[in-house]
Order: sequence, then C-alpha cells, then structure tokens
Amino acid sequence: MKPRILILSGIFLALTIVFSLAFRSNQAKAEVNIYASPVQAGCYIAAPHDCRIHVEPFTLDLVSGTKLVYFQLISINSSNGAQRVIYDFRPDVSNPVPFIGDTYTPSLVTQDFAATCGTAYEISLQGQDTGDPGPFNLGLTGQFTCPAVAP
Amino acid sequence: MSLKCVKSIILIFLVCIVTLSLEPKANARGAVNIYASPIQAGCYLARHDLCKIHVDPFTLSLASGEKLVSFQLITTRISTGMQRVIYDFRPDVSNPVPFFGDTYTPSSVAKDFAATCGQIYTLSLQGQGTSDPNTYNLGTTGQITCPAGTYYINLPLIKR
Repeated sequence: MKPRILILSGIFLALTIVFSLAFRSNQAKAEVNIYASPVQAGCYIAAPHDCRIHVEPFTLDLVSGTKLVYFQLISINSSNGAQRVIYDFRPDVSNPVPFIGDTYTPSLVTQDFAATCGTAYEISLQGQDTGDPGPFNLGLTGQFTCPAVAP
Repeated sequence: MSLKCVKSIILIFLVCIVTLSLEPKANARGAVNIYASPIQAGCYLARHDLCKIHVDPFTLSLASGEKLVSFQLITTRISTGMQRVIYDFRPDVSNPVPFFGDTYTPSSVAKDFAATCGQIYTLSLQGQGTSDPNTYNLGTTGQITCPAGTYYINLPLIKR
C-alpha cells in the first residue's frame, strides 16, 4: 500500500510542476505581443531657427494573429524631462495592419518632426497591439542635441 | 643536429617574433573601429533667400562585433573656420546598429540642411564605434560654394 501512495503522490507532484510551468510560460507570452526593430534618430537644422528630428525607418513585429492598435513617437526633452507626442499613428479600424504576415513598416513622414534648436532630446517608440493590455515602450534612442544656429 | 644549427634556428625564431611584434598595421587597425564610404555634398538655392546643403547617402562600416555610438555631420565655414554640427545622430540605446553585418546606411533627412547663401563650406562626417575612445573624422568634402541668392533679396521688403 505504501509504495503505491508514494508513486501516486510522485505523479501528482510531477503533473503539478508541469502544469504550473506551462501556465507561467503562457502568461509571459501574453504580456507583450508587440516588438519593434530598434529606433534611431537625430536632429538637424533645416533652416535658421528650424530644427527637425529625423527618425530612421523601423519595423513593428506583432505576435501571430494580433493587430496593431497604435504607435506613438515621443520626444523627451533632456533638460526638463518633458515628454511630447510628436507622432500618433492609428491603423484602419476595420482592417488594421499587418495585412499579411506579422510585421509592419510605417513609411517615413515627409517633413520630419519639429524640434527646438539647441535642445537635447531622446526619442521613444511606444506601441500597443490587440493582445496587449496597454502600450509598451518598444525602443529608446541615446541623447542627441539639436544644432543651436545655422552654419 | 649540431649546436650551431640549433642556435641558428632559435635566432631566426626570435627575429620573427620581434618583427611580428613591431608590425604597425595591426595596431593601426585596432585603433579605429569605424569607417565610412566617401562623403559627398552640395549646396543649392531652395528659395530666393534660402540655401540648403544636400548630403548624398553614405554607409558606415564597423569592425566585426562593433556597434555605432554616434555620428555627426559638421560644416566648416571657410571664411572664418567656424565649425557647426548640423546633424547629431544616436542609435537605440538597447540595440544599436548595425543589426546584421557590419554596415549601416542612414536614410536621408527630409528637409536637407540649413546653409547661408554665398558662403563656402566643407562638410565632414565624424563617428564613433563602441570600442573607439573618441570620435573620428570619417570623411570630408571639397569646398562647396552656396549660390549667392537672387536679385530678389536686394529688393525692398514691401516689393517681395
């Protein structure tokens, strides 16, 4: 009788461990469903008193079956920490991207983004897809400084 | 094998070691971990009173395993020697470029760079890799003369 109890309790313990590990890995997967290629950016002077932030093309990667809810580019003023949304992007509500596959590469904006000359910034990319409970920070640049005056 | 022969072999071996340790190329390569394709640029009149510098696309090449820390485009005004940073670029802090391989080609900016009409500039590209102790000059253009602007800028403001 005793060995049988020991074997049964061993099987029960093993099953408990297997199920708890499986449940934990599913939870971890559900936490973030959106990723992005790294975000790179810089600031340049386009005209006297007209500085612009140029963000390199990036790709959003979504977990299979999820769709993009939105993404935002946020500038962080390094001197005072002020955060400003400089680009707020929403896909089609009926047919959100990606249409095919699991990635989406937004096109570049045609005028680049406004910035204050002489100010240092970082750029953060944040986004959310249909499987995410909220937005996630997907990337952050190093600190760059906008030129103060035209050459 | 005679003792004389053994001595000769040891001597040749020592000469080889000394020669290899004094080889300057290996050290020179180790000092710089970032290179770039040649830099080309020009200046044009974008409006009657506004000049712009256009920089052709360029490619940064980094030593194997190296990542980009930063690059800058810097103008030097020939008449005064004054230098100005016109573009300051930083990659992602967690995943700096290049992602694959050893090269990275930044995309062109949308609005080109400000310049003063009538001035002469040279443009230099400076950059730094993760193992570089500081930034290096990766290329410089020849002298670029910006157009002087049109007669329009000499007209009274009310007539413009």
